[in-house]
Amino acid sequence: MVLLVTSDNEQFTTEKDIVERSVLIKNMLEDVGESDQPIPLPNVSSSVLKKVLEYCEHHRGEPLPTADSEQSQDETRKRTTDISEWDQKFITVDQEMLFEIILAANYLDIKSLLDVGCKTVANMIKGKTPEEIRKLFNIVNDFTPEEEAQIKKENEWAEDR
Amino acid sequence: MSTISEYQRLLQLLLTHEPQRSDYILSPSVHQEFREMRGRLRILLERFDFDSSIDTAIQPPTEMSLDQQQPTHPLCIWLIQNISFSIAPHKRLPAEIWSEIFMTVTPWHMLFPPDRSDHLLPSSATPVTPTTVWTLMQVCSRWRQIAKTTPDLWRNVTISHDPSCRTPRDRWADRIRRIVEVSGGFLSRGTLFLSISIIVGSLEPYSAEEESLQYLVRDANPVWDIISPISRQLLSLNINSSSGLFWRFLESGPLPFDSLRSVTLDLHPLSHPLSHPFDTSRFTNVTTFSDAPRLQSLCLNRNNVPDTSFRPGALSDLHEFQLPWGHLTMVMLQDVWTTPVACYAILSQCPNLSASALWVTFTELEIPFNIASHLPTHESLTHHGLRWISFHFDFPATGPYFPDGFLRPLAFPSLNSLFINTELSSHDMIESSILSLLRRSECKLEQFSLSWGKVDDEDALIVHPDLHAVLDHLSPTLESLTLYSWHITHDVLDLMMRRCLLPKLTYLACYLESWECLSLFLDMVEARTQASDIHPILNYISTFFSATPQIDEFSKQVKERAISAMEVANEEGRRFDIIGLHEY
Repeated sequence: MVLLVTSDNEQFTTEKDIVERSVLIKNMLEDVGESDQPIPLPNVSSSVLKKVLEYCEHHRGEPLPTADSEQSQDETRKRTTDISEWDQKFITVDQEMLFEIILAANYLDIKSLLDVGCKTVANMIKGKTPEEIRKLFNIVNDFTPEEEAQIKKENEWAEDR
Repeated sequence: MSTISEYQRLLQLLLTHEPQRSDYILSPSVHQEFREMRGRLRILLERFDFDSSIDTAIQPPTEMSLDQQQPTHPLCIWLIQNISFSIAPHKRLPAEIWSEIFMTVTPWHMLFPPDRSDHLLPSSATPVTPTTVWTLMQVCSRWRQIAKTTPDLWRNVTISHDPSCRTPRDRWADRIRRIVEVSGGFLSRGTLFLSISIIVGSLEPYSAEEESLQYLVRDANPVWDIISPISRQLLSLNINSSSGLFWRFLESGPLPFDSLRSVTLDLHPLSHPLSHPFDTSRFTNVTTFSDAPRLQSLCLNRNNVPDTSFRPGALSDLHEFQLPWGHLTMVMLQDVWTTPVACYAILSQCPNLSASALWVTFTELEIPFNIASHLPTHESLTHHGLRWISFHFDFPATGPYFPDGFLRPLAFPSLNSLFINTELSSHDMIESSILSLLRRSECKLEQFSLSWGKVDDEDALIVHPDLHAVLDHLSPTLESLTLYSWHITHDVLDLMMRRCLLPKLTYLACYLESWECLSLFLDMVEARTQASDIHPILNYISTFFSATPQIDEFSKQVKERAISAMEVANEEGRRFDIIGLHEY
């Protein structure tokens, strides 16, 4: 069993093979060897770690991606936004939690979870206009006058067609 | 808001530091502080009387509002919104994760200048409004910066515009200048290899009127201008058109193409007064690709566009094109007719060739039979590397005949796939020519395709060579067979049904000429699609069917069987098409 401590000081006890989907934790465990010492996760809150562990538990036993398999993914496959049914359900959370999960997956180095998060955001963006995207993510239109002028030029080209 | 000073501090911060900006990342403590403030502002907002007389339009604060002792309703909304912009979750994602998301959401191939309709998106991936890198770059300053500095988004670029859009003449020159200027800015930024397609035709004016012509005749070389700053980065290059600008680029002198692997030149002419006819003498001047030490693939396409200026055999000096021929592994000529001599020259000077499509035009009857005098060894040309070859033969001056003499010196010991498209006269002994080539080569073919004329060309089908001996020779290894121009015989079908002939076949394209033949064919298909421990099943069948128009009981039964067999194949995930059956 492995003891994890979150940024808000909550403790989680979980099985080694579940938590080892995180390359960061796997490496830490290998470095410290057999030990009862808790592993601090200062960048992950308890609510997010709970979700991350739910994901790891569901995908327990599945082969971890290797460097070779990563490389063999061709450009087209990388650019698909298909997500399995369970993952889709799992990632149906509010926007704040979605981004927190992505950040946690990135920090903990869980490639498959990071993929699910990125694909979910990609699906949210797909087919939307810049204004719709701004509204969706609470983004302010903060272009400089120079950038505005450049964008205007690009749009003129598009309108020429 | 707990105190006025806190409220004013927040206002000052929002107005002076603009944490709302997409690239302003708050520290965790300020982030938390902002969240708490927003919570308090929301409570305050609830306390306001929602009187319809209150102007709820979101307004930025004025000096007067700053002096007020408590926030007004509109100001409260403004503060909440700006705090929300400041602490929006998207801001916390690092640039590299956004880069990943951008690569997932955009099509792999980017059109430049931007095209809202983006026809290059695969239909399955087409959302309602396609998301292109241009859309992402118009969201906010940070996204624009991330997109611009994600080299993967700019790797596969087509520089073009829709030729159907008739750019006014007075804007045309300016348009090219802007494309060159801006594309240079984007393309030269990345450090990764680039694959670029340039549709030169669309860079031309639509009118040959004086102003445009003068622009061309002057110093304009937009293809060169686009490519020269990035030539070392290029991995593949596709240039489309045969126009003056195309030649101007090709004749501009060598560029350092350190990484270039593949060049595709689409030579199809536009119906444009400035389009140049192919001039064989020009090829000796083409030195652009002479410094491309890694070049492996050369494709010339003419895309079957009718062009009266294109002489048969116009590319007889193609081998003079200054290229690292010795390195090439692929030379594909599609509808670009060369001569027998040029064809030998290409095969001789490309010892590393593994795949080639050669379209050969025969203008004189005697040439094929004296061809040995054109060979370097004066005897034979054995190419040890070729695994895939496709010959198209054309006889514009002599009338059809099979160029046995052309094939006679050739041998390809490694050949795996052979495709021949030719014309035939009834005197030709095509089977002995092909058999002789196969025996001389001692190759083991897995793919074979032979056709003469088109299936709908009745004259072509008058010629019925006997191909039994060829099929028998190919039988042990052949997996794919295309014989659209040949009437498959009952004997062949019977042998195939018993797997005595072509036992490894999985792909068959052929021609069936009668109901009896179709009936036997269905027997063969049924037998050859049963699971077998030793032999694979036929899983791709495409046939043309043409029989006498009379329909009797037998033909009705055969037709029903055929329809049923196609349905079964469809259910089992096999391909089985009988083209022409529905006409009966």
